[in-house]
Amino acid sequence: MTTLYDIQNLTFTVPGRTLLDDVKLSVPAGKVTGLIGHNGSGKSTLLKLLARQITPTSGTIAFHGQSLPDWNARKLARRLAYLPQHLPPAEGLLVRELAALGRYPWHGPLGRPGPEDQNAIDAAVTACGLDGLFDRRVDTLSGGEAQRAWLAMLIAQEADCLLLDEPISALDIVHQVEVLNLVHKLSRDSGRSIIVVLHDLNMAARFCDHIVALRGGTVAMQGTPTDLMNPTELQSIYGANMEVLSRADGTPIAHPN
Amino acid sequence: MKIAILPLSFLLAVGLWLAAAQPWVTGGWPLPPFDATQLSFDHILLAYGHMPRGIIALLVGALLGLSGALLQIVLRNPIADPSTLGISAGAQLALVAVTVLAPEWLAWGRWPIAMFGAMAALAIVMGIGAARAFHPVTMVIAGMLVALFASSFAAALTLAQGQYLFSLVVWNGGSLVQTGWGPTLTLIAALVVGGNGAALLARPLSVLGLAAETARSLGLNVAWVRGLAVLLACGLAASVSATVGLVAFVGLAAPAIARALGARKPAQVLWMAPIAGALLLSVCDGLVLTIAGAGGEMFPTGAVTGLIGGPLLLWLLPRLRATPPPAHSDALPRRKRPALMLWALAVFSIVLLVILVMVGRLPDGWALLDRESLALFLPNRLPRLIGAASAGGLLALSGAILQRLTANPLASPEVLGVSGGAAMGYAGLLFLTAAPTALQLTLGATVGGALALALITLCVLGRNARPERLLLAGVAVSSLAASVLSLLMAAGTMKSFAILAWLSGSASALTGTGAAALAGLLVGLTMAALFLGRWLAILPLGPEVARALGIPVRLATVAMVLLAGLATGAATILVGPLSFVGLMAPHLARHLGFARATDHLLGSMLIGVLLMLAADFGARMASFPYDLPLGLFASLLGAPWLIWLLLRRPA
Repeated sequence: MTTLYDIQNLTFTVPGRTLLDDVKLSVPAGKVTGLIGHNGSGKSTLLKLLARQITPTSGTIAFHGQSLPDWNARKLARRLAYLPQHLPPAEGLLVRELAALGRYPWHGPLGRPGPEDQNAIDAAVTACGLDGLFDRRVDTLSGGEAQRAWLAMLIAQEADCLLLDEPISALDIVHQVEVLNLVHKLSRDSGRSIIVVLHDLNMAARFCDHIVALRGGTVAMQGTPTDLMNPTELQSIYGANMEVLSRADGTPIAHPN
Repeated sequence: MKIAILPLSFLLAVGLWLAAAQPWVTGGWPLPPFDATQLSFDHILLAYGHMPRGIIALLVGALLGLSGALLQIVLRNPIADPSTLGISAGAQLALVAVTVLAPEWLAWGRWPIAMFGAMAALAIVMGIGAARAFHPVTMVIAGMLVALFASSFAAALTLAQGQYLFSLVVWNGGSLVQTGWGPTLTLIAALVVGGNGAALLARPLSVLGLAAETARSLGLNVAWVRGLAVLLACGLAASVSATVGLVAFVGLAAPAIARALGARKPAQVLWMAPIAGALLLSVCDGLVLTIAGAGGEMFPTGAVTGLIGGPLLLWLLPRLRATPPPAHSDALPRRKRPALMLWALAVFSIVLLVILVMVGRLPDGWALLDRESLALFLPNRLPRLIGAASAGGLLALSGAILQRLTANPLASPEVLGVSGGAAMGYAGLLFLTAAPTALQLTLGATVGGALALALITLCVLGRNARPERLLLAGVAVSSLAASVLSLLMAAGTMKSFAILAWLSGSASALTGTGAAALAGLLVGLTMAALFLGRWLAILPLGPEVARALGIPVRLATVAMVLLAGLATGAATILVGPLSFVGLMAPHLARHLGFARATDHLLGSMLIGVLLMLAADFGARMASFPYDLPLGLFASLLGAPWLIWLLLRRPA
């Protein structure tokens, strides 16, 4: 198992508050890693640090064995794609134009987009099930469609590591499953590494290969979904009494008591 | 810690006021109730002049601070202030129109006329806004347009009709000199009403601080709250204008200072902004009093607030908390084939240029110039047309870049502070040297503009530089420049008129070299902007997305600011500060359906060219054979067009 991220003594503070406290973590490559935890546990902060959106107060992050600050911006963007939690309004942009922005790390400010760029854009839009909406404006799409349009931009970026901050928060249950299936497929078929912040425990258990749980800015547990899905573990992560049931096929589902 | 600024500046204001009172405090202070028949002359000066003046400075500052805070909250724009909605420009237009057309009405006094103009302007803005539930972006654009339209119309009237009206119509006022307690009592009443109104509105406004949809679902009538808040804010500002005249910058700076000092929630801003405004204006007035004591009062306090407020705002800027960015207006049109329209605009500009070169107005009517007169006019006319068109294109390009970079519909080249810097350089050289040559003046303006640009760039380079800081830094530099200019103008010599002429903009002095340089720069900078088009497409999505895509955000921002600054500077130095072309052309382009970054840039640029070509023609012909300032016609043409586009329902 190769390592995607190697995180040592990572601390992030804002005035008056420590959001992440001395986190040591190793994230495996080629897998879907679910990042879970209660509100304010530091999930989004950790993801932003991994995406180099913010710089740590102390500690180090190595991405593919190279210290994160040493990466060249566009080289990093070819390997690493990040979807923020709050999507900005894409005023006036069409779906295909938004997806095309994902090609920026490849052709840069001046390079001429070639056929491989167009192929990547088409494939990404198709993969997100937006074929019929190619020429629609993003600001006229429904919340779920817009979220998938942004995901198409991320996929067009063709990075081998995707960081997704609550990518299914605006989706109905059918599209939630669809998007997470897509995420899972991206990882399984092309060996991409995906780190995804999820609120829904059962979705995380079903679609992730590896789980990292945060509690109050520290790592509470990491392991397989099976390790996670037991009442003791869940009690210690969320501080709530949970019941774990077994479905007909043997997969566990958690339910608050 | 930083909150200590408030008590310290209060002490400073009181100290300055006491020091200025010294000459009259012979034999103690007069005590209320005052009886003029019993008081000595010195005591009358104190009781009916100096004492109400100290209080009115506090009151005016507080009222303007409150008005600005209300407007910034409801319009969700950190650079909104009472002048944004066009009320002062409306008042000025009413005064000028009456003075020129029906001077006998002036017998009723200036204030009913000014108030009528202000309310008429506000009614238009509210009328346009009502069609869109008083949406902040629509209100702000409509306000700016009414302001531009009114002030250029007023200037056109002045210049076309009465060459000697200058002194009469410079309605800046803003003098705090008092001759009794009447105005003070009026303003106390206004503050009581306004304070209570703001207190009542504080909670609805906090709810409005969430998205409009959320506010609606919480049971708030969004349109009513927005409308009431705007009316209250404008009423407060109008009561100040009616009592002491125009007081610049306090309405914008006070809420910004309040937020920099830690006010976060609307309610906190609403009570801290009046305090900040009161203290800011009192300190300014204290300094004016001190200088006046030394050499007689030369300038009204209201005109020099930028002198202290500007640097203060710059200093507080790094401490400023983020405000939510202005919300986006409803979906703007998007053209299916923008390239066609761009070609049409380009061809139209060239045809117009050729026609304008060929057509002339002779004393006995219009004529197509024959070969001989064409040969005679061409060396004079061609540079001027090309220069004006290029300047329009440059300013529009700069405006489009800034509006995309900051995602703020109020951003214009003027907001960058470069025009202000250039004007200061020009004026500074004019006053410091005995007989400067044209080349020296150009150099002076260049150095001034470059210094302002360097200052703004430094602000952007700082840690956590956000677009709103760029805008506020630019506004601070601009108002500092405006204050320095009004100080210089107060000298009232021939040099003041030279500055006034330069400020209105003129292409008549352009040489062939200058015009060619501007045209070359237009081509070069447009190419550069198009090369950076991908950055401009991504940057409006916010720094997070830009960073994730591998854009060096800080470098990109600085590059854009430098590009916009260079374009503005060049146009300003050669033709004058005509930045409303830079404000209007990008909005026109966007409303015409140019949505993609590169289309938007090219469309704005071409519209800027067209506006200025037409404006130059109008400026030459309207009062033939005299030249009128270029700036007037550009806004006379552009403002009605954009208002029509704003009112048109999206298909």
